Amino acid sequence: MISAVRCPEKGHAAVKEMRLGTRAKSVLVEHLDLADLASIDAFADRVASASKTIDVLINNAGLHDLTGAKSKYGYDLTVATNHIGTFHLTNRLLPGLLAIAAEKGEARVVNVASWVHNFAWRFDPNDPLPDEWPPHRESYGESKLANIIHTHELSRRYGADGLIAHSVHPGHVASEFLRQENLPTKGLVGPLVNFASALSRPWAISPAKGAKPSLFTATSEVAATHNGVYWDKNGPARAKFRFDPDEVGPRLWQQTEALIGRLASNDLRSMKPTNALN
Amino acid sequence: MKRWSLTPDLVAGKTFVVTGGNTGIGYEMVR
Repeated sequence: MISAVRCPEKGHAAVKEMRLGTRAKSVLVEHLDLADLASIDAFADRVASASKTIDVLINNAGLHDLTGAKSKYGYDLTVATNHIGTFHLTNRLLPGLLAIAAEKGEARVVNVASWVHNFAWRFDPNDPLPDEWPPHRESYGESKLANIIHTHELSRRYGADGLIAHSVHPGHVASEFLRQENLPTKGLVGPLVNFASALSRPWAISPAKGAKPSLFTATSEVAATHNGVYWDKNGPARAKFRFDPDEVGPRLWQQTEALIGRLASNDLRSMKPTNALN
Repeated sequence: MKRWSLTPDLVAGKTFVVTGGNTGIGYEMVR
């Protein structure tokens, strides 16, 4: 397993803990910052030179920023990380996935989405990924909806080649997902979010339980009989689309590719990053 | 899915790439 993390020190500590009491040796920790296209390219190059083929990609990383921060490429940090970074990473690793699909009959991609996609009220099917992220649009919910549409489109494009793609809702997991650095330091939003988070803690599920939908869709025989599907803890679920995903999927794909091209070619890099993350 | 659990044969011989540090996925996989 290759564990791709933003903070390798924490990743190494977690892997050390994972290995306690097991014989597992084959866990590599690699640096990956999904908000940074260059970091994704460097990671993909390292994977290609080390392994070349990948059986399963689990796009689990994500964040929810409430400060209005932008990535170093000048795009909304939440959308840049959760959708644009996930999309770019998947595209960069696709040759390795398709190679294993050709050899073994299947390879899988799991996008960890969220039930919160239901709150993407202002999602515009005609313009799913604008050149500049409009501040009135809900970035986290839309990024998770984009994960689900991306999954659907992956299955549509590469299903015949043996690629199986799923998106999942992990549940409300007790994790450090909502970082203090992504909360506003002024006003009531930060304290209110922390209060709500503490209040809901008793109902949060363990990381092991939260991992189950990802692992089930990544490895089970049952999940191999579906493709492009959104899952919750009970099985295949209905994603709330108010549009035809066969129509919006190609549009989101094209817009994301075009935006990545512009971001990577420095068009928006003159905008300064707005928080310590960058 | 509720009764399903990860078994070694499902991960043996496969290369997984998992993004993100706050995850139970890695723990379950090497357990």
